[in-house]
Amino acid sequence: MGPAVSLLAEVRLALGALDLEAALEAEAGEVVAVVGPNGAGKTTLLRALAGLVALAGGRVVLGGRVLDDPEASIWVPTEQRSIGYVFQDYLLFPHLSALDNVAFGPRCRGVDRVGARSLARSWLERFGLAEVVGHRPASLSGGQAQRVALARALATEPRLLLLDEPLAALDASTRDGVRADLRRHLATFDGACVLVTHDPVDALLLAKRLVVLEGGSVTQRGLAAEVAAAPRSPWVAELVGVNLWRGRGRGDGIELAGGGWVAAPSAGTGEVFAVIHPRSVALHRRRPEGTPRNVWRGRAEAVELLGDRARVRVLLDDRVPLAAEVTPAAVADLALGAGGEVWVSVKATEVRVHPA
Amino acid sequence: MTAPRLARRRAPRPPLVLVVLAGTGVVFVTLPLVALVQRAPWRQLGSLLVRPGVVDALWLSMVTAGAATGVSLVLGVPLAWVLARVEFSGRRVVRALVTLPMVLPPVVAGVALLFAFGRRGLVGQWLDTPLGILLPFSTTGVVVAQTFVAMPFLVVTVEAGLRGADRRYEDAAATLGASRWTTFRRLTVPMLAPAIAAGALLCWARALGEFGATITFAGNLQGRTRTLPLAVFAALEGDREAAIALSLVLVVISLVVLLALRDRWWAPR
Repeated sequence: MGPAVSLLAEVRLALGALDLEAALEAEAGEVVAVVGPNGAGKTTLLRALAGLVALAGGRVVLGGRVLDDPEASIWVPTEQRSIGYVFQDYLLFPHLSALDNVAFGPRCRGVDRVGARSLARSWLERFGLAEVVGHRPASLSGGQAQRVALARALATEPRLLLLDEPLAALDASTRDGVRADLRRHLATFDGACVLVTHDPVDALLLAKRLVVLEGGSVTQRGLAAEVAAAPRSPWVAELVGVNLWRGRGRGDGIELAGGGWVAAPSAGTGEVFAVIHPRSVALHRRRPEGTPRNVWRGRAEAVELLGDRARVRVLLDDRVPLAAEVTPAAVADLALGAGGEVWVSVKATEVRVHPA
Repeated sequence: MTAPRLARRRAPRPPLVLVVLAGTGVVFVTLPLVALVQRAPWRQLGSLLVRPGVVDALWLSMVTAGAATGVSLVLGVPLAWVLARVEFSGRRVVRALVTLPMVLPPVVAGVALLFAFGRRGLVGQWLDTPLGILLPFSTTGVVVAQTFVAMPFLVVTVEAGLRGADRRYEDAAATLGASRWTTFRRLTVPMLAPAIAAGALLCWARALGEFGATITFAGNLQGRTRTLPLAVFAALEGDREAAIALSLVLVVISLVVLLALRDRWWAPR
């Protein structure tokens, strides 16, 4: 028996210029990322799941309990839904300490003051925030505020966790660390999680499945790796169509999980992800000479035209898939066809490394 | 911010007509205050301010204005919340009615209060016979008059604060399981503290200066309903020195209030 479907949502609503119609499913313990351009309705979808905007049609079911069904006149108010919500700018209550921010939820759900505080303290300690329990949000760093917001959302032990661009407010230097932390915490979370993001790295590293939302409707959905490998529109290709490899950092390169070596400056140590944008991948007919440190041999598996660009799927060493983006003219020049042999090069500086 | 050095062109000279009219305006507003200070009996000030009638008026004013502010807080903050957060038909009418005392001549307010809470008034007749409560010509009546006139200042200030506040904090509280009452108590009120404080101060200052409605509804009885402004008015006939001394007290209080509200009203922009 597979895990029970935890969240089953069909959302139909109109808000201003937005006409939202999206179906969404998430199993318990699973992270689903909703990706899409600005104004696609991602945040509105989350707000609808939380009961902060009304549905015009459809229904929301969480763990067998109907939360929203306009046709049956069922509507469970936000405060009675078992949800945790991390807002894009966190919305930590400015007049309360980190501790009281986290204790707020348990207090509202009937835990007494002392109990709620000790619960909040243990959550903050779990998030490595023992030193800032007494701090007001204004004196927290971006990364700390994000962790407090996550601890606050999880402290009520929700069955559904909603994350709205949880890393967007962070600068690049703290982002990787916070993302790795978030990944760890999500791995231990046993409820369903819906994550909204416009960042492909966040989507691919944090979620198992992707739902692409464009102009209020779902244009593609599936396992993150599938969507990344076979984006159906130039926009999706741009957003999530990156190459993502897992491996172990070895200083100046990464040893891939399935064997193979990728040169990358400051790859660090430990488990990492290597991200290579298809635009950074160059294709050659003969073994290239020059500075690129990563030169591999492979076979062109498929060529797709996406607008004014061509996406070539290459299989390296008969094992590792890689997407490359070139101009349609280059496809002709290289005489690429399915199964054709090709050389691939990637500059080491084009390999982005993120801790897992 | 300092202007960049390069753009050190002299500002064009303002038109003379505007400068003359503006200067006249400043003189017009400050002249009466200067006159008051110039006529102040500085040497006797100490003894004037400890006279029984003066002490009574000071004490009565503090107590009544404080009580009026308290009543305004209890009724006005929820009223502001309802006006800002609950959509109902007739909301604009209610808002207009609630703010009416701000522009209503206070003497009219006093007359209206008499017909409502006077011995034969709409509500007053019930307060009088079965309950034995008589509002007119009582200290409680002073508080009623002051609350009527001053509460709108609190309501308007707090409602503006609520409208300017980020409502998503209330959404965040709801996702954590807070009912609207809990959210109001634990989130809205504390986060709105600056607006509530400013509104209360404004309300208190207005209550302290209340004259027309008070004298009409509550009369001018020393120790019972004669607040500072009424005492100034009463002293003007016989005891000018005392009238000036009391006026100075009110001027000082007004200046203090103005200073306390400086960040809201005349913060440099």
